[in-house]
Formats: sequence, C-alpha cells, structure tokens
Amino acid sequence: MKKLALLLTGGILLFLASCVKQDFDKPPVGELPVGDIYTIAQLRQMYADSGAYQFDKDASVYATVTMDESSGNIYKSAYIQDADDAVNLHFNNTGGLRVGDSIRVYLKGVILSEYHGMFQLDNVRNDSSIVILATQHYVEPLEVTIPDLLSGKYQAKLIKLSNVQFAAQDITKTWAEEDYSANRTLEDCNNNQIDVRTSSYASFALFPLPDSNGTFIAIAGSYNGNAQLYVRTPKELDMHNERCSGSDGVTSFNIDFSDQNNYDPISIEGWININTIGSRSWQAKEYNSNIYAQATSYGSEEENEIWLITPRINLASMNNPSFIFDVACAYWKHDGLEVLISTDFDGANIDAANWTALNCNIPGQGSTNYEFVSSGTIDLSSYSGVSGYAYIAFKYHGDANAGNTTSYQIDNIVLSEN
Amino acid sequence: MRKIFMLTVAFLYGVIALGQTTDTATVNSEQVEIPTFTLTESDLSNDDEGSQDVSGLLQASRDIFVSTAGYTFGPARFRIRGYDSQNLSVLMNGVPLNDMESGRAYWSSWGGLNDATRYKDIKTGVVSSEYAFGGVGGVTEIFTRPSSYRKQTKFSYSLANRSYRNRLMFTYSTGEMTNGWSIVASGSRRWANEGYVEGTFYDAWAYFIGVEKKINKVHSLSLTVFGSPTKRGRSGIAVQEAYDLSGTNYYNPYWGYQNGEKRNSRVANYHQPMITLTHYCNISENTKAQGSISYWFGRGGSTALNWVEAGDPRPDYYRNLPSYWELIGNDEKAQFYRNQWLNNESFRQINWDHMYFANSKYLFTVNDVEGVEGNDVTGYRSKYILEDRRNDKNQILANWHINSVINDYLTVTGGLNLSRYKGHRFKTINDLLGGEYWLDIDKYADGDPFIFPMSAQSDLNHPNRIVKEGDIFGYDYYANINTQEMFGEADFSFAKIDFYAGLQLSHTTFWRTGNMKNGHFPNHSYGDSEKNNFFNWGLKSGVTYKINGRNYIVANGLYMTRAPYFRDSYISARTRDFTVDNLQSENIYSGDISYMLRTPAVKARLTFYYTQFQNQTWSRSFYHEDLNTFVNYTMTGVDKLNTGAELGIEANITPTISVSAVGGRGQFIFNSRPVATVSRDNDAAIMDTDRKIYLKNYYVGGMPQTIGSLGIKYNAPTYWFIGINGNYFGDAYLQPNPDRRTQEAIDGLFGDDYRVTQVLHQEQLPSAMTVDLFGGKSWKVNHQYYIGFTLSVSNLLNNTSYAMSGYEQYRYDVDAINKFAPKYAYLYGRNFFLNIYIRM
Repeated sequence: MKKLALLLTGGILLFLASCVKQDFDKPPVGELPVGDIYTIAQLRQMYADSGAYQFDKDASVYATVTMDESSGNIYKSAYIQDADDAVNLHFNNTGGLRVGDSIRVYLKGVILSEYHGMFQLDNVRNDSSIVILATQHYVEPLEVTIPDLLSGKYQAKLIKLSNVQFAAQDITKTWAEEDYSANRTLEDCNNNQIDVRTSSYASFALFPLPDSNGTFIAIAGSYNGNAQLYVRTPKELDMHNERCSGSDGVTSFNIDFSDQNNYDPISIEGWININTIGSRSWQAKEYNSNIYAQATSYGSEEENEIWLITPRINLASMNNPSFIFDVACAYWKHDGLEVLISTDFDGANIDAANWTALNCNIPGQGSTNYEFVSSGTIDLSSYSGVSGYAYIAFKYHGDANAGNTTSYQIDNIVLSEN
Repeated sequence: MRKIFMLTVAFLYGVIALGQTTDTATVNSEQVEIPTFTLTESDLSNDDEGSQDVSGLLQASRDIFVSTAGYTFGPARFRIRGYDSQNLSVLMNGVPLNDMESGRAYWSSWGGLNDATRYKDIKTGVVSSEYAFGGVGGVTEIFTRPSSYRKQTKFSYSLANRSYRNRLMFTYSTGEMTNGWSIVASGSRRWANEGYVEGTFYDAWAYFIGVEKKINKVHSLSLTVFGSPTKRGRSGIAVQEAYDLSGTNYYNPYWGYQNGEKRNSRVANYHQPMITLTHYCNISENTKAQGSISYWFGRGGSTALNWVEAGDPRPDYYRNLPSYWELIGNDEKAQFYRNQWLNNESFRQINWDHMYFANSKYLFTVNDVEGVEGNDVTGYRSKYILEDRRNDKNQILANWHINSVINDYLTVTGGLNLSRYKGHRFKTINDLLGGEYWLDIDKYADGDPFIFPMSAQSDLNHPNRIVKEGDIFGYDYYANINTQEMFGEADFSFAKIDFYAGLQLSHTTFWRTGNMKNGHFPNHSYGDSEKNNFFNWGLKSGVTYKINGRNYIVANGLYMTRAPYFRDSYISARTRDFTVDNLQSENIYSGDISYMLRTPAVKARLTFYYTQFQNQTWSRSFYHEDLNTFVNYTMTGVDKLNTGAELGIEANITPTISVSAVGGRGQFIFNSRPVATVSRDNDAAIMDTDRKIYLKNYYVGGMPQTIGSLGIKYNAPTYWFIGINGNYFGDAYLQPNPDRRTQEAIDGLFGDDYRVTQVLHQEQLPSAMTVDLFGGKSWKVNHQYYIGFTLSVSNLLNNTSYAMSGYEQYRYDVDAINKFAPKYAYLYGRNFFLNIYIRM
C-alpha cells in the first residue's frame, strides 16, 4: 500500500510537471513615431529638387485617401490628397485602405520616386507605414475641365468633369478588355479629349461604358506625360443626359437662341463662347420677343476679341453641307465681325488652329441698325475633304479705346444638307 | 428501404434458427509490450484534417509482415498493399469507428489509450471476420469488453522525442469480480513543449472507463466511455528550397515568435468521446449475440491563419522565397530574401508581433452592419486572425451482431449496423490577434470601393456581419449521412479445406444542410440539399487448402460497390450544395493468393494480390492566386490498380535467437483517364467540365511501394531482449497533380519542347535505408510486481535525408515549373521511445 501511495504521489508530481504552455501574451504594440511633418507639396518639391530619395528618419505626411484598390482598378496602391496636393502611394502588398480614410503615412523607409513620369511614394508598407486616424472623411472632387487636365494640372487629385461623355467610337465598348487594360476616350462637348485608363482586373472592367453625357469623377493621372483618368467606381458617375456632339460631330443644328436669357452670356451645349481679349463674351439679347446673340465693345473700355464657335461639324457624313444665319449690326463704327472656318481646330486651342474666312453677307457701313439680313447660303462642301470635320466661328473684334465699337447681332444659325 | 428491412429480418432469423453447439472465444492478441503511436501526421493531403490513420493499430498484429508494416514502415507512410485507410474497417466491440465523411479511421480518436485498446484482432486483406464484412484492407476489432481485461494495476511512464516527449499512463482493471461486476479504468497524459519538429507542442489527456455487469448466465450489460482530448501544434511540409535555406529538412512553417515565445498557428484540437452501451447475450452455448447503442460526439478542428487586405503572412509563401525573385530577374530582392532566410530565424517563421501591430492600426468603418442601413460601425478591424476550422461530430450508432457455431463444420455470423451522422463544419474566430472584429465577407469576391457587393457575403441572412472571438463565420453547414448496413458470413471448416463466403448490403443517404446563405449561391447554400441515395452490396469468399499441418494455400476474392464519400461528392461543400455530375458508387474487386508455412521454427507467408478500384471520386480545393479564389478540382472515374507481393518470414535459429525478413513490392497506379470538373468558390460558372486527365499508368504517390526489412532478435531467458532491424524504403513517388496531365496544360507546346517533359514527368523519390534498435527487460519483484522497460530507437543512424513522401502543388506554371515546386516530407531522424512500467 505504501508503495502504491508513493507511486501515486510520484504520478501526481509528474502530472503537475506536465503543463504545456499555450496562452500567449498580447505583445506590446509599437507606435509609429510622427517625426518631421511634411505636406505632399513639400515632398513633391523635394523630389523635383534632388531626385529619388529614401527616408531614413522619422517623418510623416497627413492626408486623406481618395482612391483605394478595392475595385481592382489599381493594384497595390492608393491615392491620397491633402489640402494642396495629391500623390500615389505604392504598397508592398495589396489592401488596407479605403476611400475616406484619414491617414498618417510614416515616411521612414518610403522612397520618393516617379512612375512613368508621375510622382509617387514607393515602398509603402501596408501594415507598418500607415496609421488610420479616422474613416469616412471624404474629399470633395475638384471641378475641372479637360483642357486643365491636359495641361498637366491636378496630378493625382480627385477631379470632377461636367458635361462629358465617352467618344462615339468607344460607347459600344467595355471599360477594359478581358485580357488587357484599355484606354477609352472621354470628351467634353468641345471635343477636348482625355484617356480613361481601366485595368482588366477592375471589377467593372467588362461593364459597358456609359453612353450618355454627364458628370465624371476620377483620379487625374499621367503616364509618360499623357494625362489619363482612373475611375474609382462607375457607380459614382452620373451620366444620364443626352449626348452632345462631341467628337462625332454634328450634321445639323438650328440655333435661334430662344432658350437663352436676356443679358446672360450665350451658353449652348457644345458651343464655345470665349473671349481671347477683354472680358466680354457673346451675350443674349431680347428685342420684340426675339432673342439673339450680340457682341460689342460699346462701353467696354477695353479691347475685345470674342469667339462663338459651333460644335464640331461632321462634314464627311453630310451631303452638300450648307450654313446660313441671320446677321445685323448697329451703330457701325468699324467692320468687326468675321465668320471663320477651321478644319484642324482641336476644340480647345484657338490660336493653334488655322481659320479661314467664309464668304458671306455681313452688313456694314450704312446698314439699318438691328435689321437682320441673311448671310446667304454658304456651301461647305469644299471643306469636307480635309479632316472631314470643321468648326465655324463668329469672331468679333472691337476696341472701345480706339472707338471701334460696332455691335453685331446674329440669329437663326442653321447647319443643314441642301 | 422496406425491402432491405425485410431482407435483414429474414436473414437474421435464419441465422438464429441455425444456432447450435460449441463456443467461440475471443482471442486476445499478443501481449507484447509494443508501444503503439503514430510518428508523423499526414499533412500530405491539402485538407486540414490532420489525419492520423491506423498504422499504429497494425503494430500489434501477429503477422510479421503486418506488424513490421505498422511499426517500421508506417512512419514512412507505407500502407499495406497501397490501400487507403478507408479500406480497413476498424471496430471497437463491434462498433465501426471509421469516419462517415471520409471513411478513414482516425487512430487519434482513442490516442493515449494504448493499455485499454491493447487487445485486438487484426486481419488484413480480404478476410473472414465475425465482426464486419470489412473492405479490401481487412478488419481490425479492438476488444474493450470490461470483463475481458485481466485484473491488474499498471502504471507507466514513457520518454520520447517524437510528437510528444512524455507520457504517463495508468490503468486499473478488476477482471470479473465475484459479484458479476467488471470495471476497467485507464487514463493518460501525453505532453511535450516541443516535439521532434520545432514549434510543435503536444497536450493530450485520455480516459477510458468501462463497467460491465453480468446479470445472469445469458445477459451482460456494459457501458464504456472513452475520449482523448488532444491539442497539438502541427508541423507542415515545405518546398526543398525552404529546407535548404533553413538548414533542416524538418523546417516547420507553422510557428513563429510572439513576444519571444514560439507559437504555432496550426493547433489541432480534438475531443470526440464515445459512449457505448452494450448488451451481450449468450443465447445458447454456441450462439452469442451482441447489441450496442453508441453516441459519438464532440469537437474537432484545427486553427489556421486567415487574413484580409494584407499580404500572405505565411513565411514559405512562394513570393517570400528567393527563387521567385530570381525567376522574375530581380537579383537584388533575391539576395535580400536569401540573406533573410539564411540568417534571420524570425523572417522564415511567422511574425506574430507584426500581425498584432498591423491589427492595431487598421481603423475601418463597416457600413450597414447586419444589413441595417446606416448601421455603421467603426473600429480596429483585424487584418490577420487565427480561425478555427471545425469539424464537429454527432453520431448515433446502433449495432447488432450474432455469431453461431452450427456444428463442427459450419459457423455463421451476421449483423446489422445503423448510423445517423451529422457532421458540423464551420469556422470560428479563435483569436483576433489584437484587433476588435473581423468582417465576415468573402475576401476573394470582387469589390466595389464603396460597398460590399452581395456576392461577397458569407451569409446573406446577416450581410456585413461583424464577428468576434468564438463567433461562427465564413461557412457553416451540416454533413448528414445515414447508413443502414447488414452483413452475413458462413465459415466452413473441413479436414483439408476451409472456406467462407460473406455478403454485405448497405444503403447510404447523404445531404448537406446549409446554415448560411452564401452570396455567390443564394439559392444553393441555405437549408437542405437534395438527398443522395446509394444502394451498395459486396460479396467475398475465401478458401484455405491445408496441404498438410505445416503448409497452406490461402486464396480470397471480393467484389463490392461503395457509395462515394460525402467529402468527395460536393464540388465545394463550403459554399454550395452542388454535387459532382454523374456521382456514382465505386466498384472494387480484389483477390489474393498466399502460401503459408507454419513450423515450430519457421513461420512464413508469401502473398500475391491484385486489387482494382474503379470509378472513384476525388476532390481537392486549392487557392489560385491569379483567379483570386479557391479552385475546386473534382475527378470522377478514377481507377486505381494495386498489385504486388508480400513476403514475411520469422525463424527461430536457436531458442533465444530469432531472425525475420520482410519484403513488399507493390505497384500502385492509376489506370483510367478520369474526367475532371473545375469550379471556383466565388463564381457560379463552372470553369471546365469533362476535362480529360491523362493519368493512366501514373503512380499513386505519397508512399514507398517497395519495402524490406531484415531483423535479428535475442530473447534472453532472463527476461530481457534486444533486436535490430535494417530497413529499406523505395519506389516512392510524388503525388501527381492531375491537371498537369491534361491537354490543356501543354496546350501550345509542341513535340520535343522541354516543358512538355517537365510538366508530365512524375518524380520518383530516392530510396533509403534505416536501422532500428529495440530492447527491454522486466523484473518480478516480491512475486507481486512486475517492473520493466522497453526502449526502441528508430533510425539509429540518423538518416535525415530521406524524403519519404511529397506532392506536386496544385498550382503550376508550365513555363517555370519550379515556381511552385513540390513539397516533401522527410522521415524523422534518430528518435526513441522509452517505456517504463510497473504492473501489479
């Protein structure tokens, strides 16, 4: 019995020695020091000044995420934006950020570099370079124009374009192809165009492109100097309006200005109303219930050069294209109106285009004030062969200081096939 | 159903009516102190079962070939005749222990109960058995009837360096006491802070309690309960590059340091106790019947890392290896990774601290939690978690069998097995690793940056669900399997000839019950699926021709059909209830012929066998990075042919010296061109159907097909012994990836393109030799106690370079076949097991 007791005691002691440790302490979680604080603009400047640089000290930049990779359109990266500037983060791995995250990027180890001409922060470690401070602080997109983007502004920023649409040749396509990423052309109603780049890995890659006109939200990117846009999700695009002429060009219009408001600048979808000198533009006027467009330097105290440009005209697809309008002048002081045509205007750069005067009837010295006359039918067929497209501009030039203050009125502008 | 019932009743009635004379006593197997244990875990299959099969059982066989196969070759994953453990019926007092979902017998369910499960009847191959019809692999019956244990008290301590390092075991049995009660109790504790492989711990208890009351001469009742709560840190296998860089072929990618302590990410945690009530009935002197009702239940499962919005944290992920960077021509990174692997242990192991760190930084807002608009929750979302992949068991079994000795020439036996099984498969959060919650969505579903699409939802009944530790997430379903089975056998014995014939009829119904409405498959994931019914039958017969008292010729044959296993039948049971097209029973036919010699000095057996498995179903799931999802690969029409010869000789050269020779030469090959269906978890579209797999004549990999062993043993008259074995292992092949043997795989490659050979080639693993040493001694003290020890040293010469097994990864790149190199498992180097016992 004693022996048995001994045996049992020994057994119990051995049992007690048989603990196997399986509980683990939660390790103390490290903090990422803040260090020197930079703005994105400062980082961009650093890179511009001294090239690629890897941070080897504690430093941070605060910003808000404007694009994440959850839709698959970008991979191992995110776009962030602070008060003044924006930049792409390139991660070692995928995941971890969402649009609206307010973050601090710990810069130690991060490399300032560029990717095909676009400034980026590289070697950002998803887990250990990012501290998320708050969520759902969404950055409002900047309202910009395609020409702004083409000039290289707003790089990496979240932007919004109004009255844009995909070019006619693309609207039957999908955002990308099954096996490769694709560029699609987005345009405004003045035929300013910019590429929209979509990855074949995007969850919406094989969705059809929106075929209507509207508002477009994207990140402004750049690839080897060419501006391009990256969509976050098609869901935030509001493109349900009727298409404007855009790149496909129009084959007819009949503008009687009846939808314009007295004294307001002329604003017609697809038409350009722009001043190249001075501050005035073509203005809507109402007289005897008739609304028309007027340009004048009278009382402007400055020199004025004002353009009213039609949408892109698709001459190639028209038989016997013809153009006609009504025109009047008042208080003649000088001949200030020209009607010009260009076959190489790109929709944005007036100066870069070649403009040729159209032969038409314009009232001049001695004509009755405000009495409309017909321009006469202008045959445009001879311009078809060049690019197939053309723009027609009403260019007013006056100078109040020189006394060149004639007012011109135009109305009932008609493009048609004869 | 009714038909089967009628048949059963008629059959059993016949059996009982025939009942007559003579007694059949249960034969207790040898009581040699052979410690039974399983050395390695089978981590070869891609599933997470942590399967331990029955090789441990075989070690107690009296047949020298079988016991050597279990004891010496088992650790090298040798399987007798190449049979999966589905083909071996394991029973405890007539209650089948094979798992319903996979058909396998998991030895670990009663691990640590070596004393209590010591008495066994092990028969291999197609055999006559009074306990079950069995499969082609044989029948193992474990006797645990409390009155069959002799009266004893035993205490043992074992010291080892295998999966555990210490074992304590205590067993107490009364034998049948004068009041008709018999009691047996056994308990054990096995543990290791670190086993043979680094980062593996072992923490197991086991209990067995059996009580029997003899009511009268006819009736006895017994109740047994056993269980083996086991937790252990698992080891994984890796590509050779990882072994070479880490400097050991036992590199284990599953562990890493947390706070400076080793923590394993794959912790298997099982506790599935079984309670059995048995009624023993001596209907007459010659007829015995036995009926039991069992309840088998409990938790099973293993943990694993899961992660979202972060890189793969597994240290041996292919992009963390230098070869990947070399392959893509980035020498700088290749050098970096090589240096880290060579010199930085924490780099080549899991970095727990980093996961805690990352989880503490990931502030995240979940919108519309539980589908309630505007119910937004912001908190630290875990990027990395430890999940527990559970496979809980709930099974009720009813068994009844009868054995009757009709006369000197005829014995009949028969039985009925009914089972209702409900396996519960789901995941829970085991550890959020410092984060506050986990978002239960399919991380592989394509996303929209502002919302989670419905298809990403694990459960549409709880969209955007936030889960915390202990919560169920991911998937949740029941595997329901009901079987009704009956068998009968007649054994004839005459002067020159013995023969037997047996029949089995069974009916299987299985279906899936989903507890979640998966976003990808809303109409095919929630609730009960269609039921699948299979009616199966089997016939077996064998003859022993007694040339004389010493020479015997034995031949056996079997034909049977077998219902497909639940686990292979569903395309992706985790997410949906689609079964494989054209789901059919498999057919097995098998035959063997043996010559046996039994003289006082020499026992020998030479067997030739031939087994054809036809129409098997085969399923695997693997993660495909390019597709960003799990791909499910299912083959039907898989035929396997297992042929070969076995030789076992034991001879006593002198009264104290015996020698043994064992050899096996098998050829286990595929011999059909199966058809594969390929699907993915996150898309209802089937990726491919009717993909023909050119698998004919490829070897079934993962085990040595040739083995040999020569041994010599000295048995001293003074109660000690010592022995030594030299062993040979050869003809092991990598388990082939079926998809590499398709037209699609080599599409676009022509003629003698070297890639064709690379893709189609099946690697043969090099052969190896090992030496084992064993010995022991016992003393009788005061004519009261026995004290003794046994020691066995395996792989005495410490051969650590034998890759005994391995598999080709399911992902492959035709242009760079080594990008996803095969993974190898190495036989343990020198290891020992010392057992010290005292018995009263």
